[in-house]
Amino acid sequence: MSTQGLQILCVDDEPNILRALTRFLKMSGFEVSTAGSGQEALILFQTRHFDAVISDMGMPGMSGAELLSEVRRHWPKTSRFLLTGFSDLAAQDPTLDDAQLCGFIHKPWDNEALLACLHAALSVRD
Amino acid sequence: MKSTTQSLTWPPTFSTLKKYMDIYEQILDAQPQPQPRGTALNSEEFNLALESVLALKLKLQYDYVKGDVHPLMSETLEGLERVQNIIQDLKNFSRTDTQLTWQKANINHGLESTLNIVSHEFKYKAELVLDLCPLPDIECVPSQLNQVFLNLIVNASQSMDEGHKGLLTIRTGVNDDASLVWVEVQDTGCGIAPENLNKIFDPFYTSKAIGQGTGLGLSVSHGIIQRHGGSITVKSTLGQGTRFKVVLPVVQEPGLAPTQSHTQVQAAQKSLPEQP
Repeated sequence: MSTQGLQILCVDDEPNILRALTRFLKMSGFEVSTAGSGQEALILFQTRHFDAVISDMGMPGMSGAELLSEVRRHWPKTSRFLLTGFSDLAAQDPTLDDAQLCGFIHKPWDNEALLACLHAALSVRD
Repeated sequence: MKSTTQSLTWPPTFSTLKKYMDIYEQILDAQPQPQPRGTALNSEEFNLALESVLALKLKLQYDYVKGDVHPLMSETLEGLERVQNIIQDLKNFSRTDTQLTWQKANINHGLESTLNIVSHEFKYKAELVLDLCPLPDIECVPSQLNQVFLNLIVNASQSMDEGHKGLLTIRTGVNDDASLVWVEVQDTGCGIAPENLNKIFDPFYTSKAIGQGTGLGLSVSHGIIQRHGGSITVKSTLGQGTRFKVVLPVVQEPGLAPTQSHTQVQAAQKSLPEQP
């Protein structure tokens, strides 16, 4: 899959995680934007199209599940991924049915696995 | 123990740093080179050369890389320091006591090493609260006590639901005449039913499914504490949590080796038949 020009938004309240994600995704050829909260993410969604969004689950204010539900509602073409450190918690959250995720990414993630996950979702979509 | 050296950014940071070095090298190599005397580039050729360098910088994301090199180096260094600390903790934790004689050790230190090693067990499930009192060093077999702490901490962590963040509290203290130290490991997990409380120290007793663990942890821990002349007790409420308390003497009875059971020795001294 050519990653050229594909836009990804990463959302996490921890700057270290955003930096780590950005670094890897940029070097893999994606155009990366970042947001520190659900609210910030929604504002960015108004400015451009994103091919995919990766969001942390536990954030102050809007949770990852809530954000991804909103994204699905307004921008259903954007592939949605949840980044989680709680292994089974995320699977039990009812809001997630609403979000219709394309995949879970467990922290810490393996770079190659993350790329494969994105590849799978983004190539099927077209 | 896949998670003990885990860091979001190491070792991937090192391979990324290598990639960044490649990028720097490509850009350096693309710079216009000095020409042999008398064959200078004319200004148009020179500008073209510079433009292609600029294009290369853009393609290789040079601005981003330049801004990321220093944070990445710091993170890599941080990761390496964390690895060093974990190795030191592992060494402390598993101090091999070759002669199995009593050694002087500080319980707080042992607890901290042990916590560092298993932090990933409870990191996402519970908040850790440490309430450690300054303690005198005690005569003990440090690696065995660390094994007990490990067992209690892992049990506590496994009792807690991944759904909502629980609380893992560890307290230590010393009694009034400084003859005894104590350690409490408390969780806000599922608790133990009253009818099971007297079974938990039995060998092979476990609440887990077949294949998950041996059920030996608490019985081995109990044996260790007993051989230290100490006690291990439990209080629990179903649905609320459990608290284990370990009490240990600061000084061991002279003449008593770590391998001998206190009850056996006491029984022999009192000329009573040996209690099983």
